[in-house]
Amino acid sequence: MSDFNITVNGRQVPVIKGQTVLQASLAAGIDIPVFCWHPQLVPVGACRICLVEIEKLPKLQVACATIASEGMIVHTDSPKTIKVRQGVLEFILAHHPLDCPTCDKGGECDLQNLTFKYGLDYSRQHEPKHRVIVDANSTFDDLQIGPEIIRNQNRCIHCYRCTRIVDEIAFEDDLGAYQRSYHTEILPPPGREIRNLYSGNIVEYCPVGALTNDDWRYKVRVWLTKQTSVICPHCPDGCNMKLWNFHNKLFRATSRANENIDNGFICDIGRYGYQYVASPDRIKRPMVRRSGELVETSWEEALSLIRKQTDDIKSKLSGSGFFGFIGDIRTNEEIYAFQRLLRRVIGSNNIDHRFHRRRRLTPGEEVSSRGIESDNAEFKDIENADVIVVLGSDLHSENPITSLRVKRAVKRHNAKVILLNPLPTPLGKRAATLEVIYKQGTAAVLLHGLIDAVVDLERFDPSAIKLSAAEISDFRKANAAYAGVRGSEITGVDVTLVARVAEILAAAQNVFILAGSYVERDPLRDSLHLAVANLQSFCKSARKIFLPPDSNSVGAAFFGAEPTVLPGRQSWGKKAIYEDLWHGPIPDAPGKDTIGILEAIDEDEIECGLVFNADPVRLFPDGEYVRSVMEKLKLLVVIDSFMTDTARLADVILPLSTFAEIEGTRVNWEKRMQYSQRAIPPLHESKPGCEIIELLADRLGVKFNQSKPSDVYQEMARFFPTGAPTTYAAIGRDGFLIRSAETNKPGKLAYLRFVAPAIDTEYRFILLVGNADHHRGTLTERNEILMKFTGEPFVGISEADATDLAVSDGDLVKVESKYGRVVGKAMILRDFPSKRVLLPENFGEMSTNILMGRQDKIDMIKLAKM
Amino acid sequence: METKLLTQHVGDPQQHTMERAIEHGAYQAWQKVLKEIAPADLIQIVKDSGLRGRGGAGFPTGLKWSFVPKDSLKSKYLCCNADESEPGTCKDRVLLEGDPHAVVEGMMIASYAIGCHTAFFYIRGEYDIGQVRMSKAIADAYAKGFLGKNILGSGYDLDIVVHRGGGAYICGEETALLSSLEGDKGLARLKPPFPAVEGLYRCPTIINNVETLANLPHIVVKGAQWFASLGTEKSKGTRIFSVSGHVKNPGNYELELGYSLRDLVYGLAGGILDDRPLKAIIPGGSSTPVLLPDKIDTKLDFESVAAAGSMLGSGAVIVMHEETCIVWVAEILAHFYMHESCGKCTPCRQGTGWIYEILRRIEAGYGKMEDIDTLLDIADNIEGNTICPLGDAAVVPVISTIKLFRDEYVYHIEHGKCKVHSQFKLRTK
Ligand SMILES: Cc1cc2nc3c(=O)[nH]c(=O)nc-3n(C[C@H](O)[C@H](O)[C@H](O)COP(=O)(O)O)c2cc1C
Ligand code: SF4
Ligand code: SF4
Ligand code: SF4
Ligand code: FES
Repeated sequence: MSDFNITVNGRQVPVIKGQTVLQASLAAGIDIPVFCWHPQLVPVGACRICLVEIEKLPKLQVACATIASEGMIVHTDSPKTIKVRQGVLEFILAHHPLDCPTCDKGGECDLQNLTFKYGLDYSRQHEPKHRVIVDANSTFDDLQIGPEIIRNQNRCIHCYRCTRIVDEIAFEDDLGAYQRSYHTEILPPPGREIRNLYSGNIVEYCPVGALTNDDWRYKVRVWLTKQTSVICPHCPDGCNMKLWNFHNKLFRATSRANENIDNGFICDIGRYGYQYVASPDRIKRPMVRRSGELVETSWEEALSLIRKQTDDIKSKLSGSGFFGFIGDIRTNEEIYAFQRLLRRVIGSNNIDHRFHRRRRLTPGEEVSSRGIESDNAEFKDIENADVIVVLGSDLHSENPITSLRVKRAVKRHNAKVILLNPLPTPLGKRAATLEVIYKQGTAAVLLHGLIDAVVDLERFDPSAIKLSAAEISDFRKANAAYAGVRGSEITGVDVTLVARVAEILAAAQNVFILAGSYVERDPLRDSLHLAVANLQSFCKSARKIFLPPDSNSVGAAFFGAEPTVLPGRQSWGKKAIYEDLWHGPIPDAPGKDTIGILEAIDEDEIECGLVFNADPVRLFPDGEYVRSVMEKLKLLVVIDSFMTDTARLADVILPLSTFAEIEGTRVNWEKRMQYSQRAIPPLHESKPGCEIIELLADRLGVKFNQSKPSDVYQEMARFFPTGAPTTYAAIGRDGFLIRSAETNKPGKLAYLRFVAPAIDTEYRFILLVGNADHHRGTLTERNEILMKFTGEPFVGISEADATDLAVSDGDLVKVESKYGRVVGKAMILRDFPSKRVLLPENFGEMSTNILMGRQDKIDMIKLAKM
Repeated sequence: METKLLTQHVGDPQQHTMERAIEHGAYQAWQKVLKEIAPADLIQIVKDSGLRGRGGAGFPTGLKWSFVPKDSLKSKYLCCNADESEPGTCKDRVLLEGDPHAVVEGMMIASYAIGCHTAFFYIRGEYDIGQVRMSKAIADAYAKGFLGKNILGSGYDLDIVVHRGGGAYICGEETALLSSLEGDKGLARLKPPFPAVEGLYRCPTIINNVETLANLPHIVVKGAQWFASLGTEKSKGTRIFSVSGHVKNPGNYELELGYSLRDLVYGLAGGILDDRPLKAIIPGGSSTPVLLPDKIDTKLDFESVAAAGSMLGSGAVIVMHEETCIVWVAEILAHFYMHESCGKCTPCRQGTGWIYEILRRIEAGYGKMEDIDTLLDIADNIEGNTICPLGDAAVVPVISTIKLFRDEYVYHIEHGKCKVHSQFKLRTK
């Protein structure tokens, strides 16, 4: 591995070319102190604590920025280095307030630690200390610089980690170093706050207590806390985190650097997300409906009630009268146990996890057809791509850390980023080479037009791709209606812009396509998936990822939460294996999916539902219909942590523990399975999912003796490909990549048939659903800290439409479709296309699903000032 | 006797106009370069002339240019450093106001030599007239076809962009100048990479001082041999010295290098104010060590001043007579460096302030004997350990005044007041 050696303190230290003296020394276990250096940031050499002596060089050199070269002889403990190190510490401490007893960094402060290790034990400083006074009446120099961040300038050691994270990593501009010399102050630009989605990282990486956040500040001392390693449950990026608790109360989440995924940075949604765990709104005890009201009761009573009522239904309708929904944020173990409960104990294959976020269901979708599966790809592959295409995704809000990887590819490798979206997204201004806005519903046409433009280019080299000349020309012929100006009329994207994108794609060596939620919501979802595959076939080398909607959507699909697929993505033919394993029959008929289930309830074929951490009433299109259907159920059992819209209709509610109270595994978009530890015991009377499922199974007649996730995991593990870890202990830091046969092989081109949806003259606006700042999904609404960032739901409209309707920012507007209406405050969005409306899906008071039709291809609405 | 090469016409109130400058021969060198001289040959001519930078460090100009990678596909940039802020220094100002076309022409020649098509003129914010005159000179040069596309039919393109600084000393340091030019705060950057390889916008960049550049037209027109005949063996040409302090005729004097310090101070500058005895001289701007009167016969060239224990620096000669309180001098200089430190690196940011505070305390009569050693130790912890040379510069006045005038420090500390009967009264707290 190493290219040559250098000598550090007399030891031979191997060096990989390009490494700094610091990196090589640290790798060899030689400690050199640092303040300003951070492995993910460009060295600035500001703090000078890492100065070392290098023979033949007249001056000491900063180890953090000096590239190691062959034959270097380095001393990190010579009298000269020791003196200057003490000198630097003395300089920093000269005006440092030394308020360790009240400082939240105490116990984990680099300045404290390095002073103990290397510093002088006396002070020569007799001058009064400089102090930046924020409030003359307070001894604390706390200044709120953002919704969640407090600065104490006096503790700042000017390492510029914070400003560099904001600039180099996040590509944001809401923090800077103002003034000069020792007056230099860390502040947001005048009139602004630091509130970017990654702002919490600056607190974590500030080496001292100059930056703190509200959740941890003045509440607990670090040495009293216990840390556990968890996986963030908020999005399919699957960042690694540590949860810090004291007496079973959570105080903060920090990153747990994993260079496979997050490189040590997490987004604020993940960082503050844990707050919902301790929300006062948690369902604390089991509840049953008595004379119309939900009242608290005991576990025993709730379970007996379920047993009694299910018996009745079962005798009448058999197992097919039941269904189960399970949420995508649950662990693999819970998902597996839940589908086993339904299939084997209850005798129903009616199970689904796709009831949310307007994800379209296509019959037979599960049967892997070419073009609609993600390729095998990892975060690291994004960085190796020279062109990154983001299709139909507000990547910044939906996959914040994937978004950072894209920025990193730009910063480090000059990658080009092309955004193809139905609306402008925050990534556009920050990192995009080109941003293309298409009319929602026409993305497939856009891609086909783009392919045509690529082929049209002089530089296009057919020999670089694996398609024959005949295939290419046939495809172009079939595609003529979507090419050039004709395509542009459909998509609303200028031909010259398409040509510029084509130029970039044609020159690309290695393309990475990230397709997001607007692809899943697209009326032509399947064609669009195929169009992505077509585009891939026209690239020299490309990978595609269809980003899943939630933190464990991939696991839910893999471990059997879909009606016609058995765990391990086994087809129905393999049923006997499971019957053997579970000592009993599984019903023959493959089950119904979400739409089928809702219709069957409507037709009285289903009378009982088990809804496990799922809220279809809030999320599935045509919310009013879903509600009316759910109300028809004889028995609705909801297993959840919060009183969701669906739970309000329940007959029995069982309190469920949240991610912090359970252990288990989840699978991110890379198909990387990772293990998340339990941080605290279940709160209130809630129970972890596996335990609840075992109780139910037992009550309904089958014992699996698997109330612990680790027991379930051992059974599940047999469905993994060979080489997979069979115990939690074996999973390790890197997790396990679930890999099927390599999928990114070009295959037959698929042809597109596009029929423009009929335009209703009354409903002229296209509804787009997105996320509010610092929100993702619906859990974030339970979170006080995240609510500080954007507390209110809004109706996003373009400047042109605002003028048309005489609406100003904050005016109440009515959004109405054939199915329902909501009222909200208008927010005028700059550069937003007209005739579109953006609604955040994060707020209960403004559910977006009630505006959507179950059958409609595209969601059209009308808009009026109140 | 002055040797007026660069300052020959600065006394002419109309020299800043294009007409008068052309009458006096401006842009002849530029036309000659475009017609007759290949860039590589031009670099060789400047090397042969022995021209060394006038910004402070005295680095050979032709050699610096040759560090620009020849095969790089990146754009190359030239920056003219007109940030002149070193205390005592006002030589560039004379040229900017008195003969701006010479500076513009110098920039053109240097740009051509290194293959630069966009050059930047970075001027300190407070230089108002200089900025106006330079902008006008550049505009006139465009009008005459000396700048722009395909200059005088040569096929060579050059634009010059004027950038006004915010008035920070640190922005004269070349890497901080580049940060400032890029729109960032003027903070020094780590070297390597050196600007000649990776400078402005991460492209090869040459930074040259105003006076350095103003020499180029003369070298081109009169030849390297002629230029090399001026000055001493290793210090060629002339320099403009800014004489300030306790002399009768303070001002700028252009001298052939190797001129005697005595002749400058007692001759051209008219001797010490009130004919008092000389106490100390700073020969090259505030960042250079103090010389005692016994060094008055030092020749003003790079090597001789170095041999005397100081540096030629920016050519600012600061003269102090016997009634100057040396601790007070150190204090005001320390205040300057504290105030001008960019704050990026710890030793300079914290150390300059600490030095100032101790000096202020000693000056005010509250010194402790151990302060002297503390000062020297702080200086030792700064020197050589900072990102840019400002830190090194900041400790020079402290170290050299303690070295040469330790007794005055001791007196201050022991008596709580000044040894010399100073016109600058001790401040009382
Ligand atoms: C703190 C500091 C301030 C400086 N200020 C100036 C200045 O005002 N003008 C200048 O020409 N050079 C200044 N320099 C020197 C420049 O960094 C650089 O060496 C010089 O411009 C190079 O030009 P030359 O090779 O023509 O001398 C300064 C250096 C330092 C460290
Ligand atoms: S606030 Fe913290 S991270 Fe930022 S510069 Fe100061 S010490 Fe460094
Ligand atoms: S990017 Fe996703 S996984 Fe990572 S911290 Fe944010 S929400 Fe959690
Ligand atoms: S030495 Fe001073 S001026 Fe130079 S980088 Fe460091 S703090 Fe800034
Ligand atoms: S860690 Fe190297 S200078 Fe700060």
